[in-house]
Amino acid sequence: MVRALVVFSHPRDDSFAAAARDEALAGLDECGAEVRVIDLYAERFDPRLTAEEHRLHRSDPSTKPHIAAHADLLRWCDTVVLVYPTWYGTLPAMLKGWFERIWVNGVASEVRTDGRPPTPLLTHIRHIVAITSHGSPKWLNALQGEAGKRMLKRALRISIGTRCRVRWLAIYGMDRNAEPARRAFLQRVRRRCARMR
Amino acid sequence: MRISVVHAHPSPGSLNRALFDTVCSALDRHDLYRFDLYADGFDPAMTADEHRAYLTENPISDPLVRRYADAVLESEALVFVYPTWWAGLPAILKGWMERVLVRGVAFDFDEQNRLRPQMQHVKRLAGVTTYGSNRLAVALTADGGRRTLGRTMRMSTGTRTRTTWLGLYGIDSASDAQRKAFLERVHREFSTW
Repeated sequence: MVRALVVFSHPRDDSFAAAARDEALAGLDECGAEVRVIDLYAERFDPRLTAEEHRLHRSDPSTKPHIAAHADLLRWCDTVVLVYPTWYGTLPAMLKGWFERIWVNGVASEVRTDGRPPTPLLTHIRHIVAITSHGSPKWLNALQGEAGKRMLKRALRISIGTRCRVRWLAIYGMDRNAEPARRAFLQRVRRRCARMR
Repeated sequence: MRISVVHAHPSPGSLNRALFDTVCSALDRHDLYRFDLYADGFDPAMTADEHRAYLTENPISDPLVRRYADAVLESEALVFVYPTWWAGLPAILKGWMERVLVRGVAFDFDEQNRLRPQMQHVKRLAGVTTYGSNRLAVALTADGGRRTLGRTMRMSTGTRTRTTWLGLYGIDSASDAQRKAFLERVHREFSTW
């Protein structure tokens, strides 16, 4: 059975991102997945890495009991579904900070003392599904270099290894999109999530 | 030149903090706005109210955000001093872009409702950053922070804006001599501004 961790990052519950989250949840329900949701805004998650956390960034995660609940969810799941708006070409600060504070040494990867690259600790995650909307059209995002997409598809490999599938479900040009394109995207989100195995 | 220098690191004892101080002292004959986002207690999470107001003519409601936005409007150069985390800007700096570089600051709409850049007054951009990874790993993970500043931000400033990039790679294994050499390089660069 799929164990999906859905991470939602938008301040408004009447947003397009919230609608996409609901479709993702409906799809995951159809495929019989066990689901946990982290709603970063609803939890009042603080995305700022603290000086204390920075000082402890090489230490064992047991020194940071306040991140244990989210770290346990990362250890539990085999699928991570991220639902967020792309702002300024990449993840919103809220979600970026979640990676900075939760995907730390000892949770996401382990620094080695022999100078070799860190050992990934989240190789049990088989799928990452990014569901995101862009205000600007695709060509403009291509010019900007898609920093968010590259973070998920490349930088995360240090934690998830090379075998995890990172799927990119994105709608572009939201500023001008008519209703049909939005509806079609929401249906695509639902179908994709219903097919998770 | 009027310059805004924006710093984003939580630790006062960090190399990053020393880089911020170095940049500011090398630029001290200019008219500087110095912003230390952690010290200011800046909250990077865009609020629901801000999101509702995003495309209106008054997108800014927070006085601290207003202060940053007014500084940007007056600046001919922007310098960002920050650690690269997860191949990108730290959340606190990413949120600064989201909340400060809004309509009326970074962009606006013309009579035909087309998006128009609004930061052509910024003639120079600079990023000073420290990377945990070595140069190869940074290249492989695509250096999202550099893309955000060098490309996304230049959508607002225009492509004629000169960008300067100063990075210290592999900071975790960098020797004291390498750190010192980097501080000197940063000082030399900004002394020529």
